[in-house]
Amino acid sequence: MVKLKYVERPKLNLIEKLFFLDFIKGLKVTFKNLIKRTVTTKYPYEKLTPPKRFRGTHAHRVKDGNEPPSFSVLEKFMDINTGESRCVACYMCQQACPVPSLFRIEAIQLPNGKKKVVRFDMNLLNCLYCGLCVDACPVDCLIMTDIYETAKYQREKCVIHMDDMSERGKDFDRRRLKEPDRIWIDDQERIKLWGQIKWS
Amino acid sequence: MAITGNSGIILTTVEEVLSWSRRNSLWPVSIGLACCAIEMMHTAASRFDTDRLGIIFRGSPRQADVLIVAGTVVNKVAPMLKLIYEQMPDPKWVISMGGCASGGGPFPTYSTLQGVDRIIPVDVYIPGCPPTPQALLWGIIQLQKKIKEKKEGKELKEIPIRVPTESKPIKQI
Ligand code: SF4
Ligand code: SF4
Ligand code: SF4
Repeated sequence: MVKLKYVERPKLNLIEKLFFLDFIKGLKVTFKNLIKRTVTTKYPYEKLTPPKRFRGTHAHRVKDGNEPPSFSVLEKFMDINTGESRCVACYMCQQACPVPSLFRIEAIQLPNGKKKVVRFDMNLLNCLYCGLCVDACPVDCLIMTDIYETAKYQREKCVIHMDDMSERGKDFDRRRLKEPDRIWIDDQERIKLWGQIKWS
Repeated sequence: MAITGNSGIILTTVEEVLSWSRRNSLWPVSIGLACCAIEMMHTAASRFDTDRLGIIFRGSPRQADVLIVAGTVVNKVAPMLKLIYEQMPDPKWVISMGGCASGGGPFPTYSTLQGVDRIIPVDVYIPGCPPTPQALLWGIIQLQKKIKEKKEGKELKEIPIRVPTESKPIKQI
């Protein structure tokens, strides 16, 4: 049984009828928003810095002396110079990935018995940007950077290779390795725009 | 006003004006196929207002000149997408947004079209799942650059002719 409630339309007096007072009250909100600062980011000229944990284009960390202990064990079997990608071709990232076919990893054995990674391709068009590969990497090699401007004219250009991934990793570490892990870089600006976010 | 090629001063000026007006008023069809469309709506909303760049979403393909393919193109929806593309008046451009539209994305299955470039020519591919609004805007700016350069006849080698590309295996080293 639905209950209906009838509401009387409020009676307007003569002044309110003549000068559209309610209409002006409504317009007050409009004018307030007209003067207020907008939330629009003027994108090509003004870019938001993504948080450090942003999941953008992939990169490789290089061998630079900050490796986790697990790398020193595996390093004995590998042919990696300082400044090169520290990938040991363990295929863990491919195992963890929901779309394993996007990886193309190849390694060869050199005459002195060491292993060398010759190829590490990722087709970003099949990637979900889920970050499972980053969690799986045992030597902290594969990371995700804050780079998102990756639109290309050709489909094959969306495949990333080992050398440009190392370059990107070096660049990312130089910029943001020391940064504390926080949600947004410009917290004060955001509080002004949207207020304080309360974490439980 | 540049005299390039041998098309004469009047024609180049007209072409320049046309190209300028085209690239600054890209009107996309409002069609969304899957989750990438949510991010496309976000791009059109006030945070990354696309109206600033002259991008106004149109309800009809007859009034539009950009098709932003946002989402998974399954085999069932592919003929419809092709029909919409053919209804758009020339000149027209296609932005393939997200992994699904560009190359099948996370669905390498029988029911999904492995890349929208198998049925319609694509100008800009944006990887991401979904691409952030900034990435989509960057793709749109790349398209504007492409329209500009195509007119001037520069860097035509890097910009491909608009024919459907076949899906290629990953490059050998
Ligand atoms: S981010 Fe996810 S989908 Fe992409 S390569 Fe890593 S595991 Fe695979
Ligand atoms: S998990 Fe890390 S070390 Fe192993 S193959 Fe992948 S990137 Fe290389
Ligand atoms: S690329 Fe990712 S976000 Fe976009 S439609 Fe496909 S699954 Fe959805």
